[in-house]
Amino acid sequence: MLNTEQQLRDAATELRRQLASVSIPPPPSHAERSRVAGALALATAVVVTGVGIWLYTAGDGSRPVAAGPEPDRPADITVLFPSEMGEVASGMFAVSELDTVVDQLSALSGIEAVSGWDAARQLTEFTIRYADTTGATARLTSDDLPSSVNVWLEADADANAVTEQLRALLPEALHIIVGDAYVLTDVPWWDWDVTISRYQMMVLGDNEVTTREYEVSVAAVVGCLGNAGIWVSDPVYDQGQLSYIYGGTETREEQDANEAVHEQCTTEFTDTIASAWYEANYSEEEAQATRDEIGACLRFKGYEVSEHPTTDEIGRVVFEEAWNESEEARSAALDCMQSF
Amino acid sequence: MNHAFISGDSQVVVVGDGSFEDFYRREYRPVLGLALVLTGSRTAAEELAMDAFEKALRDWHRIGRLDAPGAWVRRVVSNSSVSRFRRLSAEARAKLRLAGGGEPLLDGSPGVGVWEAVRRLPRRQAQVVALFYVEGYGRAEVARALGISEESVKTHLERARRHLEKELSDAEH
Repeated sequence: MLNTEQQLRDAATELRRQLASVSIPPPPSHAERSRVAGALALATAVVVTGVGIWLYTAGDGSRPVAAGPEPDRPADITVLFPSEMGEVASGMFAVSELDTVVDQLSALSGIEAVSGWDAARQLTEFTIRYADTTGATARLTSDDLPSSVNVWLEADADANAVTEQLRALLPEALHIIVGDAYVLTDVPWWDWDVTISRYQMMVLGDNEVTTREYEVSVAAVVGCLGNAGIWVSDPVYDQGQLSYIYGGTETREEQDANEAVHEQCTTEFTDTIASAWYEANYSEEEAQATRDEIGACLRFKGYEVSEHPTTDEIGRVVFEEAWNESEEARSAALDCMQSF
Repeated sequence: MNHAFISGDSQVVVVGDGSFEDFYRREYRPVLGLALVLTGSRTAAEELAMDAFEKALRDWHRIGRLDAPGAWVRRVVSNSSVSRFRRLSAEARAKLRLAGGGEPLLDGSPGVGVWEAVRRLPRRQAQVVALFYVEGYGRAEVARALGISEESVKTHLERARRHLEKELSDAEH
């Protein structure tokens, strides 16, 4: 009888032998990228002005704010500003703060292109990006999203050096996102949640959370579940928070599969927004009472937590101690957070 | 928990579309093998592997700059392979798209029972075993691919071996 180790190694050797004869299909094409680019092109009309710079308009009344053609790929660096930053009081040739920033950054070395999106343009792009998820953007307005300056780097540019320059040049920036990572310039309390998705990063990117944003984010989860073919009820307010029922399936396996999809949907659309909204809308006493209960649960599971813990303390225990301990510990600690 | 700050010492390696093709040709077979072990279905494995490479291509300006883009693709594949929903939907898509799907892999080989037992392991244990044995990764590489600590990899590996020892010896009797 072979031991387990040897059986695994033999099975792996056999698999590799068979894989060696598998023909490699052609690599994926840029078709998907072209589709996205096409959708963007439909939403944007490019005009050339008499002064020879490219101006973009979203076709929905938002004012043109970008200088330089935008490359056909996501920006390397996105700098977020308050929603109202791109607004101009009047005048066809008025120069907005966004235009000023774009001009300023265009002169830096290592930068291929820069464009400024006011909140209206941001809403247009956001709506296109999340068009596949029913409800994900339906009730959002431009007030809910930040303005941004988007930066594309030259091929040999040092992203770290450019980011540091941006931090120094733009003290009014709220956040700087590099790829999907982000460099914080102003830290609201919810930013200790490092798993925040791009969707939630943008909705919370103006450092404000509204009830409309909370409701839209929950509607997005409902849409996400529906897209996955999972039955879900309409969300209703229950004890001050939106709740819904989903699934309705019988077997344990189906329930597990539905839960996994639900987790993906909430991680994408609502977990941080819901926490931020709750924190913003409940009194300190109510919030502390919840934290106390979470703390008691964590103490019961063996962690050292004070009687009246702060959000940071709970975050440290759950996302550092338990997170690094084991998957079981992580799951148990998260259960404490989700139970209250 | 790790904050994704941009550190001053990380190296930026610029890779163009030509390099994506090299990357794809180098990594396709091992990534397919990983998906195959975790799904047990060649059609689903091919679909999930292609999904992961498509995602990598879409974000290649970013993924191509990572220290180990191969680890990124493996994380995508191992997470999607153990998600029953994604696995089933990949299989359905593959069946719609494919007339054949190629010869089945592993059929009749002595390893079939071993991989079936691996798929019955808890999700994370199956991922660790697949990366460790199929890919021949060390603990540090497995940890990096799955975004967990080396200590967790060690624990999952030990538990998986204990489970498998019992399962495989029961199967022999």
